[in-house]
Amino acid sequence: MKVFKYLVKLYIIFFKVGLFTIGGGYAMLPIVERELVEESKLSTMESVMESYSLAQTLPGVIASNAAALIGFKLFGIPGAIASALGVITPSIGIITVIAMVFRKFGHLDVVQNAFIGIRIVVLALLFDSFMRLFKVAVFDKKTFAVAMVSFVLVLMNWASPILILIIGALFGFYVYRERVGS
Amino acid sequence: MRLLAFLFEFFKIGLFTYGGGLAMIPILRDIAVNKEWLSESHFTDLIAISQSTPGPIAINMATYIGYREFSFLGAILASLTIIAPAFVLAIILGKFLSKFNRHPFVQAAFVGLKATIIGLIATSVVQVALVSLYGNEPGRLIRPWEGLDLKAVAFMLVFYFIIRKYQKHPLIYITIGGIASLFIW
Repeated sequence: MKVFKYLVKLYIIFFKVGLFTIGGGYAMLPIVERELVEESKLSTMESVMESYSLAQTLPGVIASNAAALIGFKLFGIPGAIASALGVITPSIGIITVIAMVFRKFGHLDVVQNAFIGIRIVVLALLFDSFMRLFKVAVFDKKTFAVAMVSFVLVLMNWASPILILIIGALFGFYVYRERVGS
Repeated sequence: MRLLAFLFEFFKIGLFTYGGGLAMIPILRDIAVNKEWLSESHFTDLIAISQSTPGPIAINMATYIGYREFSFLGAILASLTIIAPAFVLAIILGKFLSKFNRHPFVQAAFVGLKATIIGLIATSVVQVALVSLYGNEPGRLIRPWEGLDLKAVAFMLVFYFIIRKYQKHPLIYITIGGIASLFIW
């Protein structure tokens, strides 16, 4: 019974994470720190940070990976389930409502006209993210070539993005296996 | 059966994308547009919605597409399916994960993976440019200058420099952009 109470608590903490963080980035850490480390003293900040950095190395959604890893450490599989469900619940609720509203009002002129500008802002945001990530991930001729080749193949629809990701990982393994870590 | 095939796509996305929401956009776009779940411009609108509402971008996108295809059930199942593969991996690998990640072979694969993702994100930039910088007809890769809306290009440059200078929440830029748009277009 006591464990059940903690599972509900975990669900609520990660519900808040899902509700208040956007993109699931570092913004989730202050909430987790306050709720899980300072108030309920269930975990330590080192442990949370470790789970968070591990979450980025798993595929899929970083925020739910971090939630699952933190929950798993505390209460095993039930903990992982409670935390991961908590983090996705707000999105499901909010976006479902938006999808309903958009279906009803999306065709209105005022909405369409607003989205002309919004699409351009999306472009600017994406371009900004691209520029920042580019500097981190592309650091020599080989990584530049990998980025260029995957860009052209996917843009021209000559290969599926998932296939390209698998080939990119194998290429990285083959080329850098001796250099990284030494 | 149709629901299972639909969910299988989200399972693939959850298993093969690495690097979070931004890396997921090009992969989801490829599937969503080819399967005709959404048009190119509707998908761009979805990026805006997902970036300006709470929660992880990938979950927001999965929920939205799931709702459109299979109503409430689709919204819930698409979101659960996209997190499922990594969830299972997290539990199986658990304690070994940090050791696994430190292995030079895995580190080397990550270098290749990150460079590939940059290429994929660049395709998103181009695809979004083709629907946002042109008038009623989307732009084409061959002869990209045809139909280019110079007003839109100027709008984009202004926003890009503001975003680069003040790294604020995307919701702020999207709101300002939407309101400004009503006066310009």
